[in-house]
Amino acid sequence: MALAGFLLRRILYAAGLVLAVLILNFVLIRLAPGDPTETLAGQMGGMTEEIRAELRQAYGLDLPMAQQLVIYVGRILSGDLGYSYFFNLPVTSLILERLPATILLLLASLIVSVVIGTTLGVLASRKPQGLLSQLITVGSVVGYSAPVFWTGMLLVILFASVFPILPVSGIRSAAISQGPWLDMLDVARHLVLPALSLAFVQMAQYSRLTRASMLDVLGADYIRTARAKGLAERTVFFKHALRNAILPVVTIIGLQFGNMLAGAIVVETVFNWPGLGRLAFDSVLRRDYPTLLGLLFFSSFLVIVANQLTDLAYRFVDPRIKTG
Amino acid sequence: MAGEPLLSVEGLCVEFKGARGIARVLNGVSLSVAAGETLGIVGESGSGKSMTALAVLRLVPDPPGRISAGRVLFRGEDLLQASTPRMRDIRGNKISMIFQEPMTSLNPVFTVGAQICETLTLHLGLRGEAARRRSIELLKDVRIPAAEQRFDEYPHQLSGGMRQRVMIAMAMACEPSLLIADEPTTALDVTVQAQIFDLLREIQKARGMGLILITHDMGAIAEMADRVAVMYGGRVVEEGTTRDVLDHPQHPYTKGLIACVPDLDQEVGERHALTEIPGVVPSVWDLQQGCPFADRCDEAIAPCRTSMPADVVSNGHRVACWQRPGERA
Ligand SMILES: Nc1ncnc2c1ncn2[C@@H]1O[C@H](COP(=O)(O)OP(=O)(O)OP(=O)(O)O)[C@@H](O)[C@H]1O
Ligand SMILES: [Mg+2]
Repeated sequence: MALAGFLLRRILYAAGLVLAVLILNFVLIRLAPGDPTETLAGQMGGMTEEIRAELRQAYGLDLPMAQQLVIYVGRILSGDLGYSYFFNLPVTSLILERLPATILLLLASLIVSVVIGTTLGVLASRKPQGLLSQLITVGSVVGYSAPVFWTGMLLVILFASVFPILPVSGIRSAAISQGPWLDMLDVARHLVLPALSLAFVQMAQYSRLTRASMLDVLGADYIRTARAKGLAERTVFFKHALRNAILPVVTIIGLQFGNMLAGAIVVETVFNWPGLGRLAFDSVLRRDYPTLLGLLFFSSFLVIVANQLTDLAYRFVDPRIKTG
Repeated sequence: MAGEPLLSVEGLCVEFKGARGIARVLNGVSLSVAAGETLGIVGESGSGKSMTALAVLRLVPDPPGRISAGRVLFRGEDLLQASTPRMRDIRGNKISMIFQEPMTSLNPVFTVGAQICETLTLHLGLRGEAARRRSIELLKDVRIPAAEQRFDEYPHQLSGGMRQRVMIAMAMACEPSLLIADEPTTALDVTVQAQIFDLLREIQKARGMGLILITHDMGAIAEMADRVAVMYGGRVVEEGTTRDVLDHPQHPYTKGLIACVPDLDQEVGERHALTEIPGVVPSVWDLQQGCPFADRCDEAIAPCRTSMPADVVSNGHRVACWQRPGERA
């Protein structure tokens, strides 16, 4: 009962947040200089002022901004994200078409960065002054400071010219299917580099956080109690310490989701990965307002869902937090 | 004291490495406790009581700490020479320890029951339902109401006194022959303190277990301890039967401690902890030459500042002070 009430409150809160994000994005985009009809005009090799005015009217761009906003929000509430100016397709189907590629990329880098990052952090905390620990610390600082596009470019250069063993562009090699297993392998091979470059920054962050958190926890009184019980050092470390040290990491996973989405825009552009990030990048260049707004709406929705899930997960792993 | 002691600590030294060099935290601590006996350890904050307890179980944080000399004989076996697996077999099984801070000594993410069961599984091989039943028995033994329900609760759901009871239950899980209780009541309010002392005394009587009780509370010593060791500056400066030490203190520091206690005949709980003797415990970082208490001592004479007095023993009453002449060991 308490849980249901709690969930309901959460959902209402999230809905309010999405609405706020929506309005903000709408206003920001209109404030930016330029206009989609200019882009269209450019593509068609010029157009007369009359045709441009007609187009503006057709798209509703001639109405006052407040009115446009009301119309837009109303449409979204009825589940309609509008039509792309550029593709002439419903934004919803554009997004859904590209969603799987992005989800695949995000999940792969999430798993890689959390698993490798926390493992490195734990290893580094075993002997905080040891060589391994120092190496990991230096590696994390480098990884944390390297911009995603830079890591991505380096990987592209490395694997395109020096070791051409992994594909550096796209998601599939051949358009024709070679059977489900070979296709999957093909996608997996294409996934390696983009996922790694997106994971790198996150990995660095998780390892730093895990190391700090482990060192903190290892000084706690209950660790002394665990040792006084006669437990093996391994059990003290991995059961009693890690189980506590992982708590702040869980919080960060949720907070990092937004950063990962932002990183995906860069990575997908660098590696030509056909996901939402590239669609966003292209839509900005094309001033494709409906697509861009749809993407922003959708990604803020994803981020909020991720944060709510993290919150729930946190309640699950930390018994001290009560629902309510 | 009849026969071989259960635990005897001889010349124990512990050092800490720090930015300012090496700190000698324990400087040749010797003491012993027999089965069924209660040894009280008293002394001001920083005198090395907790460190002595940790060193017995080899739990001194290393690095930066290190046991640099001495012997810890448990039933004749030197624990400082024992292998790591042997040591793990002794901890929580033959020798248990409870700590000063019940609020933080239990792991917050595991239930009380899981933490007791862990000890039972580790040392006695009890699992599942058997472990659960035994844990609940142990919780009942330490007078925890609604033990079945408490079993599934997390530490944060219990009060400080209840948590300390859980710690005691956990420590008693394998019926150890020695229990080291490091200021088990300091963090608790006075009525709860008396209850915990009663509980410890009762368990000790029933099991015939050796008990080392570390405390600031002279009254608790008077009531609980058979013998008492007074620590100062990483040394035991006086040791003897509780009656002897309390009625005829030999060391000026012990006299000071006793003078600070208002009235030993008051009930436990109505007494106050030690009030201060003027001055402070010397820093462990300062190189000591003479008696560590010399600077605060009214009776100090020339040799006190230059060399550490050796122990003088008469009738089982040991004191380390230049003012107590006698045959020195
Ligand atoms: N990690 C450490 N590094 C350096 N010195 C330490 C460290 N831990 C403890 N000490 C020193 O060891 C000395 C003895 O500490 P200990 O905890 O044994 O005192 P205590 O008698 O138990 O005091 P209290 O009554 O406050 O519990 C203190 O002077 C303390 O400063
Ligand atoms: Mg202490």
